[in-house]
Amino acid sequence: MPSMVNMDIIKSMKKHDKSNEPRTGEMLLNDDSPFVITEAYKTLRTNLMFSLAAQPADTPHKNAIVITSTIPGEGKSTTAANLAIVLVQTGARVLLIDADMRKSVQHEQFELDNKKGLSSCLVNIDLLKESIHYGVRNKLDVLTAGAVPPNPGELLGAPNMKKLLDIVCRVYDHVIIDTPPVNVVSDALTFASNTAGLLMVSRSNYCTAPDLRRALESLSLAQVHILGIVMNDMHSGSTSIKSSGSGYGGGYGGYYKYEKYGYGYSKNEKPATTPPDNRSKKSEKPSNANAGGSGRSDG
Amino acid sequence: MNDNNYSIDLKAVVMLLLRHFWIILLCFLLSFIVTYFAVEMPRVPQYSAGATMYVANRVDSNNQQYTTSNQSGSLALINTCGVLIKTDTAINKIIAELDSVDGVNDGVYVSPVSGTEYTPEDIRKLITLSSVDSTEVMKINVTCESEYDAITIANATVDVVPEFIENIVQSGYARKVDEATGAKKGNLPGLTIPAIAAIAVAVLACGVIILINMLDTRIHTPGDVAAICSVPVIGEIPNLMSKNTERGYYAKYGKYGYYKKHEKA
Repeated sequence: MPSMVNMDIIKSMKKHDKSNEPRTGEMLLNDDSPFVITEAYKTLRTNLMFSLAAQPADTPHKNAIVITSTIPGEGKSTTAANLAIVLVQTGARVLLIDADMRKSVQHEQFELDNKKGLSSCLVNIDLLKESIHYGVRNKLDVLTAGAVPPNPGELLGAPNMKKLLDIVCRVYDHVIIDTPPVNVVSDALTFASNTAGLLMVSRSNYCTAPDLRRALESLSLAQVHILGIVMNDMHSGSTSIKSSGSGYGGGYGGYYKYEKYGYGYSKNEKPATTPPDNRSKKSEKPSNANAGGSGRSDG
Repeated sequence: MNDNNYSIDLKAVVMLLLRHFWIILLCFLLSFIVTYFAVEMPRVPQYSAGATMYVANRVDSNNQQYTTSNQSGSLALINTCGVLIKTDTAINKIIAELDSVDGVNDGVYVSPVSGTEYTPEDIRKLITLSSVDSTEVMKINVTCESEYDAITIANATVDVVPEFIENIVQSGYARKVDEATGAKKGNLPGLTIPAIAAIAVAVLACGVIILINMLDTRIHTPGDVAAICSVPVIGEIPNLMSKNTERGYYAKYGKYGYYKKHEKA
């Protein structure tokens, strides 16, 4: 029996789920993007640089940043893509990795081929070079998610992921890794401790305090360094009359229905068990790209 | 991190209420209108006509001095009159007086103006007696829905009562002072009750808005994040679809040259 809090989340996910709508790149920054939005991402870039500069010298993969959120639909994929775009504007070489293999969207946003991607590389690291899409936006390279594997969590925690990070972190100035929400699946936790840190995207008027607490507790247990929180979808009139403390109630339950909203496999879907080239037809043309949130961002 | 105590930001409360001002205003207006039409509109105007009499105990001819005990005796007499005038005998005398007005001696007064029938029981309910400022002056009030009827019944009463009192109460007497000439209109629809109801509902709406906000566990501002954890908020991305991103000085800043020029460079 799910708690009331989780029922609210499920209702919210249903409301915001636009998985039948393919993701487009309209949310990505471009020359026509509103000044306020562009500057917000540039501010994020600056603050992130300060956070990264404060990292200890022995931090592994100092230029790899994991982007995640608490629940789907908070805008982490859009944030990851736009952060990568503004990082490229500084002249840096940036690789955007779509590590959300269950519900990949970056290939749709950048309109890229997804036959080969991260899942291919984690099965066979030699495919890395040919899996990366080069020069997508100036110096921005993108490694899409690839075919949907049966065991994304295990793949991301496998030694090949560390090898992959070793390679890309030597080549690129910044590596942005878009991962699934931490309250739903633990994919991000498996390797985030092996990076410079994690950036938590939290959507205003959507993410709840219990969700955020739960996510932070999970990250704390996994000893993941949190670089900061990005408040997404901020409205000008957002206010809260509670100035400090908690006072929040509600318990946690399992997101047992999460598969319905895109993470996981349907009964009829046969996950790829062979290298990415043999991925299923559904995986080749993912039409159920998530769209959570306001339809502008996924989680 | 998990501090169970929290304070309420009054400025935020005011801002919250201002943002929901239209709801509060709507509640105020609706409750005002509903209360007015439900409570005030059905009210029937009542007319109150008053006639005055002087009532006193008979003073012993050997003792012409007026004393306090005489006055209290007169006040007691007024109370006695209040009871006596509601007796069947007195009411029948008043009805008989009124029958001379309607011209039909049937024990029921039919008003020639309003057409209303007044039985002895109706008359009994309409009449009230009281002392004016605790003096020996007695006021007879008749309140009914017709001004003419109120005046007529009051005058009939004031014509009958002196003789009746003198016959029944041997030690007292009553004299007519003023006849009823006009009636005050009362029980009119007012705005006080609807206003009170509207204010109460508006206050209730404010309370509900604040309560909903208090029970809302969603994160709205960086301050909410700060209340939960010590992780810094390093970015605030506005709503990409919001019209607000196209408004305001800062939103237009780039359109006037600086932003675009430097971006392209």
